[in-house]
Amino acid sequence: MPTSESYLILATIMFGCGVFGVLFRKNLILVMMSIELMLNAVNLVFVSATQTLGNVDGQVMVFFVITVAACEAAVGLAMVIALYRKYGTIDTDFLRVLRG
Amino acid sequence: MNFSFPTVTLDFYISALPVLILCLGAISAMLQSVFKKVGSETAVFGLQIVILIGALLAALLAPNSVETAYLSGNYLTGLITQFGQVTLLVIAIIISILFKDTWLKAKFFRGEISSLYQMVISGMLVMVSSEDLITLFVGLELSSIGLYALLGYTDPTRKSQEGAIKYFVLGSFATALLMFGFGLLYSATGTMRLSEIVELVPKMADHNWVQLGALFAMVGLGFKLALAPFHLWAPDAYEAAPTGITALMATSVKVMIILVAMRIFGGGLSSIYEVWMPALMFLAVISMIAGNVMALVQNSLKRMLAYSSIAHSGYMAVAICAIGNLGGEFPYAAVLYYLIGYAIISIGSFGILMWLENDQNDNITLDNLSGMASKHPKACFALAVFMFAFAGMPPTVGFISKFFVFNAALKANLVSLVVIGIIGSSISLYYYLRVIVRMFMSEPVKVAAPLAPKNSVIVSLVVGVAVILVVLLGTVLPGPVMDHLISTSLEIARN
Repeated sequence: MPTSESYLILATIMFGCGVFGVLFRKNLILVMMSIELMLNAVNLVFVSATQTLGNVDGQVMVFFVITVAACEAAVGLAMVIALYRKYGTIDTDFLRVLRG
Repeated sequence: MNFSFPTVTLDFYISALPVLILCLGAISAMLQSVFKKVGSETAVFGLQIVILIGALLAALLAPNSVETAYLSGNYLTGLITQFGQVTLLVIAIIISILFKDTWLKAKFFRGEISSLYQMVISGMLVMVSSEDLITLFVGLELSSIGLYALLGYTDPTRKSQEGAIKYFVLGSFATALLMFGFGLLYSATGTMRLSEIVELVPKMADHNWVQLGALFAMVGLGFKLALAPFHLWAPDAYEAAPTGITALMATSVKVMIILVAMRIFGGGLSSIYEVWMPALMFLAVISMIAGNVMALVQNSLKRMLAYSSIAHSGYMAVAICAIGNLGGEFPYAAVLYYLIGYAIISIGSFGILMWLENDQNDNITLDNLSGMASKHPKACFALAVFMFAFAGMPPTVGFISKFFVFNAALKANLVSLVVIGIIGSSISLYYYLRVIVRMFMSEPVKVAAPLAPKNSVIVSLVVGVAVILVVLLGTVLPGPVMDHLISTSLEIARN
């Protein structure tokens, strides 16, 4: 059986992939997917901790994280759609009006 | 698995009344926007003010003498939470009154804005009353998601959409970092309550995951507080947002995050301060230098104030470092005093910016201000007072609050931070004084969209009171207010 440490290492790797995606992807949808990946790594940490500790707090937290991630995706996708409808692009390079 | 249902008592409902009132207000504003027609915005706006004042009264009257935890520790009442709630609600009332004109100008019915606004405020109240990581997270997201929407929705132009998307991406990124930190802390300690984490953490301080968790939590809060080098979203979001929302981001969000940082770093993680303090000192130094230096080259006033707010976050981070190193109630009181002063100055200066703006020009630059003193001497005098206060000149609140913060840092032997803070302040003099010079000593510059602000009783009142408070808090009031803040901080200070 894998130890709790190995879950944490897996979660850290997942989180790292998410951070990489947010920093280097040019497509806003992919950036949002990377943020979801980061939040899912967080969920993995909480679930694995609950398994080792025998304590339900972590599972409660996971429900909240899932709900909040859905709300965030709703607001974020609305913004991306508004941008796409008006300008026909969701590339991050397009976001360059505000500078300095 | 151990689990027991928390007991919900009448006392809980009484102490959570401000949050409940605001939630009801948010729902009713949303329903009104379904049923009412264009033209009834004033009614929704009036109700919003009534709801906010009701919540303020409930927060003032809530029992606070003993720090009490409800719902098995998820909701906390006490002097500090009451201080936070009252401050946030007062700021919210003033900003919504100033923001009224922008809000009512819209072409279609905008009850949702009122609803979002009240949800943001209720999230902030939840966050300052939380002692548990779950409630903290829910409150943080309730306020952040509402702010993302308010930023992009109130005035949909390309600029504001871009700012909203940048704020959204970096804000969610920060949330994920913060949550990863919380997850690691939880997996190491097995508890979500900060008061239990503080006891458990020392036993496993050499545990790598605990240290990593503390650092992730700090980076997450640093993003939200716009500490350099995590500040990149702040100038864009501040410039893109309608000025009322900018004022909310500059004041309420800072109050909320600093109060939470006090709980997390002064309370929960104080026992491993050797781990996070060097990193936080680094962030404070970078913020004080980068914020002040970048502000030098800005022409837009909102962008300049954004960079100056990054520098002010740096000064507040110095106080948090002092809390970690020194303990005791003085650094807590110093950072609370700094917050009050900063909020008053910010509201005053953003109030003047809101008053100057019109449909053609929602981004006031230094050229707009040139030679304005001959036309609007009173407004220019008030703005000059605020700029002096931002720069930390006596006899304004800016000087005294910086004095308290640096005093706390010196007591905690953080001499290098104080030196860098003073260097930063002297750099900042240049760009604050430049505003005053342009207003009083330059000739008017021809601009495309000249400003023609109308006289407004509300703005004069708010700005007038802010000027008086800035001077009073810098001269006669510091003693009594500081005594009060020290007795307020006694309950969370460790000795």
